[in-house]
Amino acid sequence: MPAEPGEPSEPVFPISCVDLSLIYPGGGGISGINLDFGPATTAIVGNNGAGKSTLLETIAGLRTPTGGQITLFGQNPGTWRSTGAHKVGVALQSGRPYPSATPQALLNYLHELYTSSPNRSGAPTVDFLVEAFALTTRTSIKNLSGGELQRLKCAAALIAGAPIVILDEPTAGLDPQGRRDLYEVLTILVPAESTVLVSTHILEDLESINSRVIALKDGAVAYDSSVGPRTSAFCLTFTSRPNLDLGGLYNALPEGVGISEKINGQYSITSQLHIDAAFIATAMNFCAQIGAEVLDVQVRKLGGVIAEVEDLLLDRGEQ
Amino acid sequence: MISMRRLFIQTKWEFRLNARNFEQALLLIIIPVLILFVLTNTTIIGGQSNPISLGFATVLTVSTFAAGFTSLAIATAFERRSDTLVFLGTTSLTRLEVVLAKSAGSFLLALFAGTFTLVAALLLGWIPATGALLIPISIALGVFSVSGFAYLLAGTVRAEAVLAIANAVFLFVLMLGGVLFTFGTGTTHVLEFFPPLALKHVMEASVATSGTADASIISAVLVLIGWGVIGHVLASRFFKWR
Repeated sequence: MPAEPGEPSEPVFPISCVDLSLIYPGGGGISGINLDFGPATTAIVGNNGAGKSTLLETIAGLRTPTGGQITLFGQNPGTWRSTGAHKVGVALQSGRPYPSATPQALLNYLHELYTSSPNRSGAPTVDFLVEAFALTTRTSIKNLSGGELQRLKCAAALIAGAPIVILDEPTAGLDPQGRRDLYEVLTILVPAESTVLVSTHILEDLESINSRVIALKDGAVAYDSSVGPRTSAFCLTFTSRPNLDLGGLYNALPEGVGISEKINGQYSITSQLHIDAAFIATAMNFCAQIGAEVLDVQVRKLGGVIAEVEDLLLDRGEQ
Repeated sequence: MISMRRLFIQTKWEFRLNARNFEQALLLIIIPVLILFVLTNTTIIGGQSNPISLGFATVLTVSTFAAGFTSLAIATAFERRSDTLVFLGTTSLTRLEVVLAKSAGSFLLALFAGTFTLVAALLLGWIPATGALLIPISIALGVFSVSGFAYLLAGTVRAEAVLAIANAVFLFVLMLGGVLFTFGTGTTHVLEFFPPLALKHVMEASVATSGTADASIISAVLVLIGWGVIGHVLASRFFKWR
């Protein structure tokens, strides 16, 4: 369709998804994704199976959509590939590439592959990446720990200096300190003008990323912090016996709370309203009436985005 | 679009990874050299030992088949299992470049192995004729004739099964493909339509003659090209990258 004369042309986003779908033959996948990503960092959150990897791999051009369209700087991912332009640096969640090689050898080879790539000027050197990600250079990739492998994949994603960087669950298998460290390194290494997508199923990671947040649920966008309202929320956590009657607790409390049993016997109640002494007393009374012992009662004020996403992704204790 | 620079870097990387692998050395150098020694110094019951040139041609056929089929299939299958192939999909390499580099890496491996057997053959008394200059071309033709089937196997079956099948096929071809043992005229005529014996004929022509090609050699070359095309078409149709 020709643009009206004088009308400003539409901005070309680094990543643009229009009604993007990829439905697997056996069901599942993503559907109806409409998202544009500008040069900034976006966190993609969602439970396992929510479609995070499918979305990221489709954007990276590794999977062919079954519907809709994905463009990178206005072009098909396949078109970029056929012209030899390297637009996307990717760290995949699965796989252990070249298990018999050493991290150093793999990075040297990738560095050589991208030597004359147009983005080369701003890209980091192998030595710099090895040091920044604290990579062991002599051990074979097959003997790397989970955390080392994640760091190597991140280094491989950054080595080309591509304008788009996709990191699929880079913190999987890391302890909280390791996760914070990795994000710290990434914040330093990723150039400010890059378009970065990073997925995680650990909501606490959002405290380290501090960016736009998109939550996927059942293959669709359930929340986008750039669209939805940001409200702060409160969270009451406590430990008790497993399988409490969450429906009964929900009815006892003021309206609009989310209740979930995170793991066996660990409960979390989120609320948009202030959790005051009366609120806590109501919850504790309920437990007392059914004879459930309560430990580790804690009230926290949550960052707005995390609370909203948590509220969305966790199952509510309502009928 | 194929970038020669990327293709060169990828081929170098593939070759380096393969050449370090000890099983490859066994399959491509130690077994062929042993076969060469046995063929030229022993007699099989009721027969006689082979002249060195025929033994050398046989062994080149064996190492070319090992590099172009067995080790290529196994390496590719394990790369598929470890998602190395998907990883390559995230680099700037195109799929065609990935495949071409793999085939070129196998060719270099066969050439590398051929150099070892060539030295062994010279030590055992082989006198090269001008046809020897055609050996690299014959190796390339041999790799092409079977590499498509290596991809077909590696891209459709899980890695452990590929390991078993590719080694079994290697033994089968050695024993029954007309490479190590000759059969009656009728069987031989059938085997001539398959890569192992066709490749052996082409190798014999390059090792033992001054490079003259008669009609039977031309038909052997056509057989190799034909199987190469069939294998690669099937592989491109059925290969699964993960």
